[in-house]
Amino acid sequence: MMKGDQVLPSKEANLFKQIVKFYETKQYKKGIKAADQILKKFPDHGETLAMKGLTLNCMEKKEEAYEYVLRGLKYDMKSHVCWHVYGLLYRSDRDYRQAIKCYRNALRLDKDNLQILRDLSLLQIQMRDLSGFAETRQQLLMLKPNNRNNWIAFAIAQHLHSSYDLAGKILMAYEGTLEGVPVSERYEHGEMLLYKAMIQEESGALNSALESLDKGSDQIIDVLAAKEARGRLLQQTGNLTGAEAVYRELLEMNPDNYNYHTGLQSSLGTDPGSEITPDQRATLQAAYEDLFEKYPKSTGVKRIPLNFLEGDHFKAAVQSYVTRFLQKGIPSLFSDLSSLYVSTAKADILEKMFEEAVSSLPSSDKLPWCQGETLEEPAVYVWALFYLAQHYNHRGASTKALEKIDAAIAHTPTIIDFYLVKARILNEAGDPKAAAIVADEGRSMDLADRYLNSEATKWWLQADQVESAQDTIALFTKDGDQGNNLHDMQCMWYEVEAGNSHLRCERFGKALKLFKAVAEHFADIQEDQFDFHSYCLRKMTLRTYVKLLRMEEHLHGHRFYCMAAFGLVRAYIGIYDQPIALEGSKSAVSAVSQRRPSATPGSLL
Amino acid sequence: MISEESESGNDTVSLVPANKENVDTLANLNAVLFPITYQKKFYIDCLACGPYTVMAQLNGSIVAAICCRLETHQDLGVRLYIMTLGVLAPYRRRGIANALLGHALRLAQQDPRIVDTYLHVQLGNEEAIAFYRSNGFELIATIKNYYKRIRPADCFVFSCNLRNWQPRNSCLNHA
Ligand SMILES: CC(C)(COP(=O)(O)OP(=O)(O)OC[C@H]1O[C@@H](n2cnc3c(N)ncnc32)[C@H](O)[C@@H]1OP(=O)(O)O)[C@@H](O)C(=O)NCCC(=O)NCCS
Repeated sequence: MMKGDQVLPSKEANLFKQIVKFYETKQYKKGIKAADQILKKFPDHGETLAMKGLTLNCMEKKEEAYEYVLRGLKYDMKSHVCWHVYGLLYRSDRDYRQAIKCYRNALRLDKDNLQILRDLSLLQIQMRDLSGFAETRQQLLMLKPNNRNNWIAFAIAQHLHSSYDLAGKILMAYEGTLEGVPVSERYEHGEMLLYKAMIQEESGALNSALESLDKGSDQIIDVLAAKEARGRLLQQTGNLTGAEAVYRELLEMNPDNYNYHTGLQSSLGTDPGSEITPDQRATLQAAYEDLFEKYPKSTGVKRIPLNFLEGDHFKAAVQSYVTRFLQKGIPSLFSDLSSLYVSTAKADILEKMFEEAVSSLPSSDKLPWCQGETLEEPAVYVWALFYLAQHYNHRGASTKALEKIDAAIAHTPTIIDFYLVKARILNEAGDPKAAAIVADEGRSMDLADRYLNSEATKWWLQADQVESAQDTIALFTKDGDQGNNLHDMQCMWYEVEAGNSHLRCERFGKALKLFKAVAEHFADIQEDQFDFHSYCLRKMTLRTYVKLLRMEEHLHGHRFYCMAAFGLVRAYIGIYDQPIALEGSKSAVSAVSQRRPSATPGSLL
Repeated sequence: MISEESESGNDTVSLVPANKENVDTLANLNAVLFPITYQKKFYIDCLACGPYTVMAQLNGSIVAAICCRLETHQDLGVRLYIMTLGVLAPYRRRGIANALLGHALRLAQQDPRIVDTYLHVQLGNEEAIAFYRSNGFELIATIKNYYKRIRPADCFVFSCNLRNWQPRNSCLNHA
């Protein structure tokens, strides 16, 4: 290691090495002792002062830590160690911009220091300084070209920088340096090949991507991912026959994966999600009749045709589809079918079907569309009523919906799903209080069920009964400390709902606190990504890593973040508009200090 | 949760022991089945006797329950008292009550302290009377003005000697 201006005699130099070792092995007390020993003789030794500061920082003595590190720097401005340590201190405080500056100073003094370069690159990717990251990774590669990770990381840097071509070339050059793949690294190698195909696919070099997959086919361990990629690529290159064959193979492996169905449908010349012609419909219908023969047990194969069938074909298909759900008493039938309601014609067909079922079942014990002599269970009737209640509610007919759900509850009062649906109907009809009471009745029927507990809590909040909500949610949090516990679990739905309830009741301070808590979770999630920069590289989970980075980049578009951000703005405006005199004396003070919130751009905190 | 399960035809009937988490479901059921509103004490007794008090689930929905209490009689010994037994109307005559009664009586037979079982049926409750008779219970007494708030106020006392009791075919399988 190159040193700054101050050189220690060999005894102390050895001691110094020990401080570093103690720090790395978390033996902080011993580290301090060793540092003090040097400082007794050389009180102005900068690097020792800095290391003592760094050690203190790990012992929760932040102020002292900064003091020592700054003193160290003062005595030895030319030491890369002092600058590196200063950077580490900032990094531990999540002040990455300052940390990067320090690392850069350190590198100015010791430009090829691998440890500092690696640390710098982590900060750069965390901050999405993509060109800086690429530069640093290039330097690392040039310094140590025999290290696999240096090649891969440089390729990632180019990929993120949208230099697809270069990224691909780097990986190929890396492949060129290999002399056979050891058995223990086969998985990693396969991942690298899949990642190369991903880069090529994203750059639009579809044929090269296909070629990579074909060439690597006996080296790629994640066969499923390779197959999925092949299907996608063949599809995009217009090789529909090839794509169809791949998607059929994939369906053979899992006939309930909707992505494979979407793939198959597009390979059959239809674009799922857009209008289809009668010809296309006929093609799909035939294809699905065929799939049904092959996979009679698959729910997906039966459900998907309901999306594209129309008229009598739709009616016949949906009748046989719902029969099983009704007979088995599967509560999710309505939410399964609700996406069909974009079509009024389909909604009308369903309405008529279920109305007829509900009126004929009590006397005949038969579903009107079922031939044969088998009699249905009484529960079939009650599940049909349950469906109809949700159907009417969806179409805005609250009175009818309530009538049906009440009939269902009178028939079999022990089915808890009925109470939750009744709560939803009441709430949408404009009676959140009654909704909460019904949901709570449902909750009380199975006190061991956390889902019911959460539902009841949600409805209490909708009804602005925050205290009841708190009491309810507390039943499932660790005793005593429910607020903190919910925060630790990042229970955002609760914080958002409770925040909104406080807003409605004009308790702006409380609302603010909850919305800020949500914003903190997102800061944590962003922060949590730090560990993955090195972890994913080591494990070679490169495709997932890139997806993670992209997910983090869109983090603030998440529903909960948006809700919290809007809530926060409303709370601030509410506080601003609130006449100070109306507030209690204590909160009036905070209202004054909040009157002109100093806006920190880009941050809610 | 589910202690015993079997399939007969398409039905899956299983027993769910009553406990303090689901006791409200039991109360809900009884509120629909019986003209009397039972108080807290009733449910405390129900749960106190352990595995005797159970609910029956048909294809995942709870549709019936038996509530029991163990009583110590000075001369006779311990008696199993069946406080209530009921099946939601749409789900009757498919052997569910049989299964519940069978469960309780079988348990009682295995407990050497228990000498017999008995219960009260309101006069005129023909369904219940037919049910208990078909299960080998005998009418041993009539009590005048047993009920305070419902009419008719008289009741029959039925009893069954556990030594001789034989389970009828039930929709529950006992492996
Ligand atoms: C009594 C009651 C529990 C019977 O429940 P169930 O599940 O229908 O009874 P099962 O299907 O197990 O019937 C077993 C046998 O009892 C007899 N039985 C039951 N109900 C009967 C009725 N209504 N008429 C004639 N016999 C009847 C039959 O012999 C039957 O066997 P089968 O169906 O093979 O002929 C039910 O009718 C009920 O809940 N009633 C209201 C509550 C009540 O009064 N409970 C009793 C007071 S504690």
